[in-house]
Amino acid sequence: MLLRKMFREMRGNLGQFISVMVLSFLATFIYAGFESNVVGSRKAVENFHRETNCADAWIYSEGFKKENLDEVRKLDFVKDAQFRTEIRGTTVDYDGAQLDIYLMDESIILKPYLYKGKEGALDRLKESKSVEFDSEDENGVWLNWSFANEWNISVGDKIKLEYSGVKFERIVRGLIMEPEYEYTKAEKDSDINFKTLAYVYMSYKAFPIREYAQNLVKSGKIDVEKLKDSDELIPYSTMLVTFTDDAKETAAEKIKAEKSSISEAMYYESQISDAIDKNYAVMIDKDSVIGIKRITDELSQHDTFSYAFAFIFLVVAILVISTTMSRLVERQRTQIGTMNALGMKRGKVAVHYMSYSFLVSFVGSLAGLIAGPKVIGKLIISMVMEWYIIPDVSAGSNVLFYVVAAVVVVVCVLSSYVSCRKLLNVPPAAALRPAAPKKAKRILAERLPFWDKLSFSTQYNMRDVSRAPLRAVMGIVGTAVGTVLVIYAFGCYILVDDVVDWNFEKLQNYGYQMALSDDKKVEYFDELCDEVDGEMIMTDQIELAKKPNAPSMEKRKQTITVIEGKGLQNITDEKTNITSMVPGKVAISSRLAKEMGVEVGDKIYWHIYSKNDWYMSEVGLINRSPETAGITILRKDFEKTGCEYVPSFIITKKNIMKYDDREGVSGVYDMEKIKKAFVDGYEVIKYLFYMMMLFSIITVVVVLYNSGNLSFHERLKEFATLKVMGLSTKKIRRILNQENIWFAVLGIIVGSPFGKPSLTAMMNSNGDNFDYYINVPMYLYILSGVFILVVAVAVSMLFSRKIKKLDMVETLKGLE
Amino acid sequence: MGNPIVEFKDVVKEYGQGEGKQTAVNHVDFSIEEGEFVVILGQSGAGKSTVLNMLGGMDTPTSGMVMVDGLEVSAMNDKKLSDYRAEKIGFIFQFYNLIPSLTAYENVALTKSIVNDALDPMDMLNRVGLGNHAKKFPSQMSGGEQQRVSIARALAKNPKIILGDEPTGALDSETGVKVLELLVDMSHNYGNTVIVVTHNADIAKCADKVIRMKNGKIREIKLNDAPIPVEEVEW
Repeated sequence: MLLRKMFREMRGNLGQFISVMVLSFLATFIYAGFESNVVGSRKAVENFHRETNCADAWIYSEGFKKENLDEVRKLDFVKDAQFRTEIRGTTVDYDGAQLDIYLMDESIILKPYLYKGKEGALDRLKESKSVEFDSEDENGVWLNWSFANEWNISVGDKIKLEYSGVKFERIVRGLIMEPEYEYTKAEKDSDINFKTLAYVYMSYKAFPIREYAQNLVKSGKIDVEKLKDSDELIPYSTMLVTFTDDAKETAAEKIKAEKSSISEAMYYESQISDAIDKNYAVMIDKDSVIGIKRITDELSQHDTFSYAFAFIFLVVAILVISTTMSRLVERQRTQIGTMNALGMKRGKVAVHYMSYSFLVSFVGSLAGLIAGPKVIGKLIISMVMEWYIIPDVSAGSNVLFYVVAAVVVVVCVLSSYVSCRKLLNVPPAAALRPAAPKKAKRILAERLPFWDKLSFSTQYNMRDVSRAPLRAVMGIVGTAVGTVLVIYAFGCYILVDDVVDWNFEKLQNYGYQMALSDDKKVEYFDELCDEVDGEMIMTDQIELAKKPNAPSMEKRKQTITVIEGKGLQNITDEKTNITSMVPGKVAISSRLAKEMGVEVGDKIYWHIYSKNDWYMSEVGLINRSPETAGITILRKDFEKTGCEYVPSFIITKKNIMKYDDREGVSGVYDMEKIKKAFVDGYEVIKYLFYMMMLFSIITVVVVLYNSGNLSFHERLKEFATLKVMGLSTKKIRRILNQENIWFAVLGIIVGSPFGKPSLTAMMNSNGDNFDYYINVPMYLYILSGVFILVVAVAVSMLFSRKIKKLDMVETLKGLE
Repeated sequence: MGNPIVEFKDVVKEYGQGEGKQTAVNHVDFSIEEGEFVVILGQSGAGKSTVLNMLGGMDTPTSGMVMVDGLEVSAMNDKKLSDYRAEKIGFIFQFYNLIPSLTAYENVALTKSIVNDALDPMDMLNRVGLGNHAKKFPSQMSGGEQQRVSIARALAKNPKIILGDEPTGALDSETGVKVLELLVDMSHNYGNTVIVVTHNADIAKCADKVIRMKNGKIREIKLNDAPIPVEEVEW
């Protein structure tokens, strides 16, 4: 019978109960949605790393000796180790796409993940039958699937490659994926473009060593005598190492005991260093491989969002359910009294009222739990996978999903218990009588000198707010959350244009870029640069620290950019204004500077990844770049250090597209095309705009509808009395609308300051390289405020019909 | 006694449809003169409150005509009914229906937002003997005091007709007498037409006219030539 009563009463308060259901739904929907992407992606990454036997450590050197590998393999904590040589070339026929070549005589660590396709598929690419890597293969390469997919290259196709001025053709034996390239972009690109980056695995035997050597001799870069030692010609540049599970556990325990922040892999650096007689430049772990770290960072970011959003909607749901249940229970005062008088136990009555919120929050949470992964999870995964290459990613779930859904239900049920507890303590005899009117008292605002001049509706509403503070808090908090989301959404929307402007109008003052190979001397490129009125740029990976001989955990792996200061490659300050380098000093990117605690005037120490020598520089400028962290130095200052200057690009305003065939040029690029690809890539961010706008509208509508509804019902008798007295519907509507508009305005004021910091935190939490300058201009705040107000007014309008149809007779007939 | 200010002509009020149809007011005819103190008497379900609601412009008849001060109330739309309630009617409820968040003075002053020529709220409070309670909130006053504020509120609009729905129903006899005195005073000394609905037959003894209702019909209309003073009423 009580169940029947519950359903009938829920029908009578449908609006509020739907609000609670929507909020419970949103809390779990958003949590499960974001989290299913995190859980699913992490699982896929884990599987990917396991199947490819991902390295725990990468050790770089100018050239390892063969015995170095044997020594490392002998270490008891080492599971396995392998050499490889990393070199960079270009493709010949694919717009000169960057080509990373990995030469190996075995592939036991970072084994290629083979894309085998589907047998009998109509699409040539989809039926591709990749074969395992073969270190004896003299004519084959294993090409990355993402590049092959963009250019429709399949197993069995021939591909022309170029390295150091040597062009050669090989057969594609397999299409592969590799953890280091989960996220990556070509050096010339500002963002992901799968068309411009290829990487291949190939055997040393497949490398055109003879042609390469001849070319080096011809260009004068090497002495004929050196040709006798082929090891020096193509030295082993990288050693990949995996550690045993026991070793990792031991390291983790010791790190914990020592309260160190070093990683498990880096814990063994000194022992490896001793084993190879310090014959290495740098040792890094997974966290320093950008291609691997970026997805880890992004998933951590999503993890934070899923909890933050779930928490926000849970708070709003608690506010809504508390106010809804309080009102419902108060209206049922005599019914509760009757049930008590009839002998029904208090516990049973409490359970009855808790079952209202249980039912709606349970249905809402369950629906959110089911729909979240299917809608948001799927959407985010498809968005994220625009940037990442990870096989077999699908929305996942774990036991925490159910825990969070249960928390939502329990919190809602508890808040409804708290609401009815007070009334359950009233003796039945007293509960059977109508409640005394709520006590009113003078409010602070009455002391204002102009209080008497305020209109009736203003005074009335101000007193009403003081009588129902929880409802006011609900309205204000809900609108504030909505405001944050809208500012966030608009911020995302304009961020794309801002970053494009920053990158392509301020930082890059050129129209064309020429990628250079390393088979020519610098003097050759100087002449070429003069010929096109260009500026030469060198970029490379560096390790830097605040002090000399810093321990591993204090070293940062970042980028060095060497510019000539001709004004084609600009540098911007922290507010993104173009500024100038300080001669003799370096510029350090602002986020990196903050993380390292470095200021102008401080000294920093750095070395190129592949070189063992360290250099000291003084910081002369803190600069800012959206996606490149590291240091920038003028060429003349760089050359003074004694470090070898190896230019990577020539940039120019002149059209150099015809220079494609020039010696030493591995590719020429039109920046307009790069800009278009960049803008296209960022279009995905606009999905965030739509998602945030939708969440914002739902929040504001639910909260203000509920607040207005509660306000309407709480003052129903008062409005009926006013109507009987002859106050027009329009004036009563105005009273109700006024209060909701107040909540909306206060919510906008409270929420606005949080818009920019939350957007900044989200955009920059993608990884250490990102340092967006989030600019939220005043008009966006105004636009957001107007948007929220329009929604608030629209919601208020929903009540106009109710007031018009208010049945005075029925309302005033009884108290229940 | 003056001209008829209220006329009910063959008024019927039905609720529901088909088999569930109920007739609350069944072909009722009566008239009330200006300045009269009228009591509509009847047991629960007699239809007296329905009559009062139609008179107050809160409900409309199914058929028949309700005329008040020369206006056909039964033919008015929502907007006109709202104006009618504002200008012609002062309503006193059984449970006072004061706005809890407004003080006694503000509850009365509320009428200024409703009509342009509202009387001075303080004068009205003084008239009901509550001048010194002006700053109190309803929760700080007794039931009788709240009902007197409610009367002051009704008076402040300077209405031609004051309608009371069981105005003493929630009060003890002593307080009820005081409220009744005020209502009679308004009728006899200030010329307001006061119509009170009650099931308390004792109140009828001090009325100028008593309309008895039963089962939606008028059983008797009786003019009281010698109404007794309110202080002599016992219930």
